[in-house]
Amino acid sequence: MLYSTQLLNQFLETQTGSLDPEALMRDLTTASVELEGFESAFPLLAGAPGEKIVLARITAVSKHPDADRLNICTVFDGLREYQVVCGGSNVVPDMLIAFAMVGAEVKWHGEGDPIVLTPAKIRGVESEGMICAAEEIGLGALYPATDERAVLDLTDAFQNPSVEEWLGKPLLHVLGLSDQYVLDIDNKSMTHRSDLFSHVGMAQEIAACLPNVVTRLKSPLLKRMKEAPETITVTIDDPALCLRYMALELAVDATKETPAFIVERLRQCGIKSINVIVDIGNYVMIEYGQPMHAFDEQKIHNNTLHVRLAKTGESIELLGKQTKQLSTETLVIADDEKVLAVAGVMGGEHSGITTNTKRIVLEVATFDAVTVRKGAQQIGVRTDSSLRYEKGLPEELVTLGSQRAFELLEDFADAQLIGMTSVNHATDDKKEIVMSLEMITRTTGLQLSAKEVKALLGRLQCKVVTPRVYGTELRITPPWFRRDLNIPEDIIEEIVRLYGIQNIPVQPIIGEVTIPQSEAEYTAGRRIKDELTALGLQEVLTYSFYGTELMKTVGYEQNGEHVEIQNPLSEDLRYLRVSLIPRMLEVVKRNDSAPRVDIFEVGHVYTPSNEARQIGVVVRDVDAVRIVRGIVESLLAQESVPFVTEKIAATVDCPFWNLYQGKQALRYAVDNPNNGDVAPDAVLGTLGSVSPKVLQRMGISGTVAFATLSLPNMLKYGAREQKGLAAISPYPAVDIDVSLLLGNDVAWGDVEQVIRSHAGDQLKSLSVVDVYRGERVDSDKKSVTCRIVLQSQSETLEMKTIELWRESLMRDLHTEFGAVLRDK
Amino acid sequence: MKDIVQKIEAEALAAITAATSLIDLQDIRVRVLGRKDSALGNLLKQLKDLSADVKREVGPLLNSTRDGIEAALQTKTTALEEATEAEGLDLTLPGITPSRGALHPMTQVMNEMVDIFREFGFMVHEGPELDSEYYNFETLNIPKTHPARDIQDTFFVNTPITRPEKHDLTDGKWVMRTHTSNMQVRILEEHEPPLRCIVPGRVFRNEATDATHDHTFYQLEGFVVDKNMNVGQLLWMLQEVLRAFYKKDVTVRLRPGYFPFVEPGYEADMSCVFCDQKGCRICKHTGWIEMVGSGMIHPEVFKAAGYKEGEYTGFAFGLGMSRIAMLKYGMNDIRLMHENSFEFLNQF
Repeated sequence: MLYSTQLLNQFLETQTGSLDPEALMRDLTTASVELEGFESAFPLLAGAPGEKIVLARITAVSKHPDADRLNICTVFDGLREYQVVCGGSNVVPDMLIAFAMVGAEVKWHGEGDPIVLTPAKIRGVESEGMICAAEEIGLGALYPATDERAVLDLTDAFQNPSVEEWLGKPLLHVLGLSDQYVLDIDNKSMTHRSDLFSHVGMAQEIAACLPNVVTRLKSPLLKRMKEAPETITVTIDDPALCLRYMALELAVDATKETPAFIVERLRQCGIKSINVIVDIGNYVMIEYGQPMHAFDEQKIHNNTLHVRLAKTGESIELLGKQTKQLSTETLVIADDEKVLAVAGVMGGEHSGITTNTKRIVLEVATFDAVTVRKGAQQIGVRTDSSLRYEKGLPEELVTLGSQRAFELLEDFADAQLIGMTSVNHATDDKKEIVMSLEMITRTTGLQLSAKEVKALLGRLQCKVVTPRVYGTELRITPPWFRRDLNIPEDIIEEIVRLYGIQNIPVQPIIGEVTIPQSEAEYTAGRRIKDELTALGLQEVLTYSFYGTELMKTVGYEQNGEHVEIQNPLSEDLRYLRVSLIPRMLEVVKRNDSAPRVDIFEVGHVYTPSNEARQIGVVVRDVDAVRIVRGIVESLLAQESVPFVTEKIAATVDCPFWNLYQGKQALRYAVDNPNNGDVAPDAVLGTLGSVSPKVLQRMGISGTVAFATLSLPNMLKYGAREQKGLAAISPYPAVDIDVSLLLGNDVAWGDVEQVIRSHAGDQLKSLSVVDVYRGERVDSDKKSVTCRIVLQSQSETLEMKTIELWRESLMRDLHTEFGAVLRDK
Repeated sequence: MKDIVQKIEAEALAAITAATSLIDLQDIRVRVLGRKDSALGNLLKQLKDLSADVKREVGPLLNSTRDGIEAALQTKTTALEEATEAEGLDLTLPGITPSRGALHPMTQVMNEMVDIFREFGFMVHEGPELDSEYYNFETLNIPKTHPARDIQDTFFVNTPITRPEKHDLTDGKWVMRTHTSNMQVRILEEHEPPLRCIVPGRVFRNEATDATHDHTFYQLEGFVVDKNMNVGQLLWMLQEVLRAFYKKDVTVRLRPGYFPFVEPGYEADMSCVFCDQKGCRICKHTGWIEMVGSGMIHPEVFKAAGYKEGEYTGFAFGLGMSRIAMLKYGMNDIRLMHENSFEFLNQF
C-alpha cells in the first residue's frame, strides 16, 4: 500500500513539519508495520539527474528556420545562457520555466521509461537541454497543462523580487516539494489492521510509535449534514452481510475539474484520476479508509437499491465493459430490474458517472469482509475498495466517510443534498478487556507499573481504568477503530511494541530435563536413509502429486485408492501418489545420460484410509533386479527384520501389474511360520523389474528394477533391540563350487530350497556366482554356478564327509530338476 | 678339494652378479646351497666321511664359502628388490572413486537443524502431510473466513478421507498441510507439558511455481510449553539455535508480525551472517534477514487442545527450511530441489 507523506503530514504535528522517512524506516518497522521502502513523490526531480532540472528564464525566442512549430529559445540559468530548440506553444521571453539540462531524465509525454537528455541537433540546430512540459517531469497533476503543446509556465508562481536567487536551483527545492515522499508499506504486515489502510489510521499509528510526533485528529472535524428526506429505498436481504448502508442523493456538477491537490495525492497513492465524483470518492477512501461508490441516479430504476445475493444466471457489465457471470454467493447492489454493482468490489458500466450525470446516489456502506472477498474472487477483480473491505471495516467509518465526501463534493462539485437514506443494523457493544499486570510479566518478562501501561495504551487511544486503592487489575477499552484488540494477549502485544521489543530481556530457558520422546518412524527413517546412502544410493525428493498422464505412462489403472486434489495447480498434480515409483522413474529419465542410476526416496504415500512412509529404491543397470534385491535384503538384515520372499504373479488382483515386467513380482513378507496367508501388515514390500513397455513410453534406456518397502511394517517387525552376536566357529569353513546344468524354466529359488534343506544349520552362505546361457550349453539349458559355504560349530568337516554330502545333494537335484554337473 | 670349493665359489659369485631377477637368485641358491644335490651341499655331505685333519682344514673353508655366497645372495636380493619396488608406481594418477550415495541437500540441512534442537532436548515428530482442516486451521485459531483458507492458497482434497482420528473429522474437509504447525494441537493432545517439540517436514501451498516459489517446500516448526514461558525466552532460543547453525554469533531482532495462532506474534530477523551486517545482496543491504515467524501460543490454541485457561504459556516458531538451504548453498532457484538432476545432487 502506498502512502503520501504530504497527506499524512496533514494529520500530524512533527518538529520539522514533515515526516522523516528514514526515521519511519527505522522506528515503524520495528514497532509496527513493515515499511518496504520510500521514494520521492517526484522521482524525476530527485537524485542526481533530478538536480539537473532547474528553474530558468527564457531571455529570447526566435523561429526555427526549418520548422514552423519549433522555436529557438535562449535560456538563462543565473550563470550562463543555453540554446534550446523547443516545440512549446506558449514560449515567450521573460517566462520562468522548468529547464532540464543535459544529463537530466524526462519522460516523453509523461509516459514510458525515463530518457536521459544528451546534446542534440534538431532540424540542424544545436539544442542543449529541454524546456519541460509539466507531465514530462511528473508535475502534470499539480500543474495541469492548458493545451497539450504548452510547456510549464512558472512565471506566476515566482512574483517576488528574490527570484534571481532561485535561478539555476533544482526545481524540487524551488517548488518546495523536497519533503514529499511516497511510502510503500507491506500489506501482509498489517493484514489484521483494517485501520491502517487509510492515511488517518496510519497517521495515528505513526504518532503512537514515533517519539515527537503527535496526531492532530482529536475528534472528527467534519461538519454535520442537514436532515434530508429518504428519497432512495434501500432493502437489505441479509443484514449480516451489510450492517450499515447509507445512500446520499446529490445534485452535482460532474463536469468540474478535480482539484489539483486531490489528483496529485491520488497519483502518489497509485490511483488514476477519472472524474471529480469518482476522484473524491477515492480520495476519501485513501484518507479515512472508507470505500464508496457513486451511481448515476437516472440509471437507477425506481430509485430503489436492493442489497442481495445474485440470482442464478445473473451477470454484470463492469466499468471498463467486461461482462462477468455472477454466482449465487456474490453480494450485489441491484435495482428492481438489474444488477448495478458487485458489493464492495466494482460498479457496473451502465450506472457509471459520465459528464452528463446530473444527480448521483453515493453509496457509503459496510459489507461483510468474507462476502466481499468471495465476490472479488468470483469475478476475478480485486480493487482498492475490495482490498479494504476484506480486512473488515468498522461501521463507524460510514458516518465519517459520508460526511467527508459530502464536504468535498459540496466544495468541488457544487453538490446539493437531495435525499439521504441510512440503514443501520450495527449494534453498539463496547467491549472491555480485563487483565492483570502479572499477566504482562508472565508473558514477556517485563515488569511494568500500572502507570506505565496506562501511558503506553493511551498512545493508542485505549481507555484504561485501574482500581483506585489496591490491586493490579486493568480494565481496557480499545478505540472503535481497533477491532483487532479483543483479548489480554492482544493488549500485551501492543504494550510490548510501544515499550520497545528490543527492551525485552533475553532469558535462557530453565526447566525440567527429560529424554525426548520422538516419533519412532522419524528416527527409523533417518537410520534407513543413512543405511541406503552407505549402500551407495543417492537420495531424491519428488513431488507428492502426479496426474493421469504419468499414471497411464507407468501403466496404472486408475482406481478409487487415489486421493484426488480438488483444486490442483495443473493436471499433472491432480492425484496423491500411492507409490514413490512413478515420480522416481521420471528421475531416471531425467538422468538418462548418467552412466548409472541408483536412487532412493523415503516419503509419504496416501490413500483415503491411510498415509504412511514408504521407502522406494530404483536402479538402472544390466543386473538391476539382483542389485535391488541385494540392497533390499541388506537393508532388511541391517534392520534385523526376519523375512521370506515369494514370487507372485498377475493372479493376484492389483491395478499396478502393468508396471511389472512379465506381471511378476517378488513379495517380501515377515518370516512368521504361524501365518499361512500373509496379513497386510506382514507385507514388507515388493520388488520388480519395470516393464519394457513402460520404459519405452518413458524413453528410458536400459534395464530398470525397483522395490518399495513399508517403513512402519519394517519398524514393527524389526528386531534390532534383540540383536545378539552369533557364535563364531573355531573350525574352518569349506567352499564348495558347483556348476549345475538346469532347464531354462527352473527357478533358482526352488533349487535354493533343496540346497538349504540339505545343508541345514551347517550352511554358512549360499550365493550364485554366475548364470550362463549360450553356445557352450544346450539352448534349452542354463548353467548356474553357485558357491556353497559349509561350516560346523562342533567339528572340522572332513573331505570325505563333504564328498558324500555333495553326491547326495546332486542326486536330489537330479531327481527334482534333472540337474547334472556341468563339465568344465 | 680346496680348488673345487674355490671354483664353486667363483662360479656362484659370477652368477649372482649376472642375475637380473629374484627368480634367478632363487635358482642359484638351490643349485649351490640347496639341501638336495647342490654343489656345496654335496661337499658338506661328504665332509663326515673325511679324516679329522682334512675335516679341520676343509670344514671352516666350506663354512666360510657358504656364508660368503649367502651374503652375496642377500646383498643382490636386497639390491634387486629395491630396484624393482617402485617399478610401475605412479602416484600422480587420479583416484578411482568408489560408488557413493548421498542424502539430498534438503535432508542434510534439515538433519543439521533437527540435531541442534535434539541437543536442546526437543522431541521430533513429522506427522501427516494430508491433514484435516481441523488440525491445519481450526485448532490454530484460523477461522473459516480467513484468507489462508482460500482455495488460492490451500490444496483441498475431493476424496472422502476415512482415517482413525481422535476426533470425528469425517464432516470437515481435508487439505495438504500448509504448515507444519498442524502438529501443535495433535502434540498438545498426546503429551503433557513441559513440552519441547519440533516438527520438520513437507508443506504445500497452491501457488504458481517460479524461481522463489514451489507448491511443495519444507518447514521446521518448533514449540515450547511450560508454566511460565515468555518472549525473552523465545528470543534466547532463536538466538542460540541460529548461532549453532551458522557457527557464529547471531543477534535476533523481533518485529511485530501477524499469525493467527500466536499472540503476541513476531517476525524474527537474524543479523546478516553473510556480510556481518555490512550490507549485501542477501540482506538487501539492511543488515537483517527475515528468518522466522514466531510468537506466544494463542490462548485459543490451548483451548482447542483442551487445556485449562491460563495454566500454561508457550512459544512457537516456524523456520522456512527451503529458504535456509537455498541461502546456505547459494541456490537461486527453488525448483532445483525437486528436479533431482544428478548435476545438482552430485554436488552434495
